Amino acid sequence: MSEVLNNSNDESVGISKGLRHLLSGVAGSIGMLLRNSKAKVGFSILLLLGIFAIVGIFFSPYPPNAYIFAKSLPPNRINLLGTTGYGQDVFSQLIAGAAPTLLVAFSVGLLGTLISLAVGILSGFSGKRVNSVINAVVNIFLVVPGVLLIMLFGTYFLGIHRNLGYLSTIIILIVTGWAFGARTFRSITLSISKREYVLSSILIGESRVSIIFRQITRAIMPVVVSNFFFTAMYGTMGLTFVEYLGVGNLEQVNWGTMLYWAINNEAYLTGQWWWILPPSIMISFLMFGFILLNFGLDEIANPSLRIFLKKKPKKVDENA
Amino acid sequence: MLRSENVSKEFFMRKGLYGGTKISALSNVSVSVREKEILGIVGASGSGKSTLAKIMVLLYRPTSGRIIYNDSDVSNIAGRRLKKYREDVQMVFQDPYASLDPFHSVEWHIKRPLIISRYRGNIDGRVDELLEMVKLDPPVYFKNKYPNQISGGQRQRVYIARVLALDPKIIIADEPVSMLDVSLRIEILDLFSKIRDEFGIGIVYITHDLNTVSMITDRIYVLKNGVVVEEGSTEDVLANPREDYTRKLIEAAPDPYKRL
Repeated sequence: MSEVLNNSNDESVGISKGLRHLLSGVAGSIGMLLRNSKAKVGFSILLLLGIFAIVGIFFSPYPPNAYIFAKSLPPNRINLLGTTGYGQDVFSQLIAGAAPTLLVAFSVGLLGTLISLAVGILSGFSGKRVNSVINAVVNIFLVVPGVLLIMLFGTYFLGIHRNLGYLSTIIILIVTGWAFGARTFRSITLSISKREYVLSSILIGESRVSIIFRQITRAIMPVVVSNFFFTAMYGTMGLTFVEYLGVGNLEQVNWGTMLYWAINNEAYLTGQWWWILPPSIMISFLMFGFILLNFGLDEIANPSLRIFLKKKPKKVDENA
Repeated sequence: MLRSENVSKEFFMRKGLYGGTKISALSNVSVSVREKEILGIVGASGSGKSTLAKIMVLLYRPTSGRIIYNDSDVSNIAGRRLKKYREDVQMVFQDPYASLDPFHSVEWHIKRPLIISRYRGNIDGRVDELLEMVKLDPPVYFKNKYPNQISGGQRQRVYIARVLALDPKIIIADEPVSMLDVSLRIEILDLFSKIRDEFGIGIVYITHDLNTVSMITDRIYVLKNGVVVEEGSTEDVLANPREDYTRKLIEAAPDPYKRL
């Protein structure tokens, strides 16, 4: 009996240790990121946007959806970025709309990456039959056109007089967005599981779970982080697209719905640049941050892309 | 103790949708490892040496024929029996730069097999003992190093310590020294013969290098294109090779006094 207890204890210690390895892997990746200048800039952009969004949750100068001003005012002292064609304050909308936009981007990125990681590793590290079944499923999801699916769901929800909330948008974006990452993870896992150090662990008698958590996740961590940014980009684009098409809930305030209303009121024809530019620029900034982080990560993971700064020649010790 | 009976291995190379060719890597190979023996398996590249090694640790399964360990057929075992078998029959890989996980320390590599095989005793003490055994002294200095911080010869020693942690009966070494420079080779080979003498572990030494074979092995098999062409005690085979192929292999081995 005591032996059984001991064994189970061993296992749980092993799993928590595996998790700690995973966490230290994540921490290590972020540390590496900050040593690269592109990644540093991307990281700062995301950090600034994050602060902007968090401030927006608790504070906006005016209620973002209240029609309390004159219509179509250009930027002035009271309305920092002017007012919309309906008399709402653009800056209040911008700051209040940041949090939901980032929330969708990051949750799509995180959940999509987790799903594709699980599927990819499972298929890459299991037998031929499971592998080919999962591969077929992934391929089916790859050819499903995400945008069309979103429109289909959106119009269906419109048809039953309901709107797509954030949760359903996130779910649709994850469903249409995980497959690409799963394919990447699958091929990397396939290549790593053929390496000798994994073969060695199999020979030693390590369980699959242990090999996956202790060795494979460590080895593919840079790709996981990179995939996270890609999927988050897809989430941002997807949200913007959903709202831009008008199939989302248009009473919600985010950068996508701001664009929808601005474009529907032909802000670009009537010269109301203060209505259309701020959300566009913010979305571009967000994407730019993601892309810079991705490029930086590429340079870290692939030394052949790295540009080496000229270093001062080391002083040679003459006496040595 | 461990023997293969008429083992054949065919690989299927797919070409297109239906077509493909069979490539025969081994055909009807019968070798046997006796207790406490250093056995050499010699052959040029592509002769099926590594395939045979992987079949012996059951990373590959033979297409036909049987692997027999302690009088029982192990060719198709799985699960717990396979794990048990692999505790007895272990393998040392060719490339010490690839066989150690770059993300884990030396200590981890030796601790894991001890934990997995439920070592009853002081695990930390055992790790030190194993490191001393493979002459990585002092153990404290090496324990927290990562594979990229130590040299190739030291890596191979760490790997051997990892294998020894399982307390195996047979170690299959697939070209264990071909990636190391010549001065280190002798040390690793010394280590192998020490392991045999002290712990009575049988060793299968697979190589293309006849110089090192003559130093440590008791018997050798010569493999050519997946067929055993010659076998016998090392001295006999090297002194009076019967096959042309063996003679060529012997001639190809570098001799410091010979000039081209």
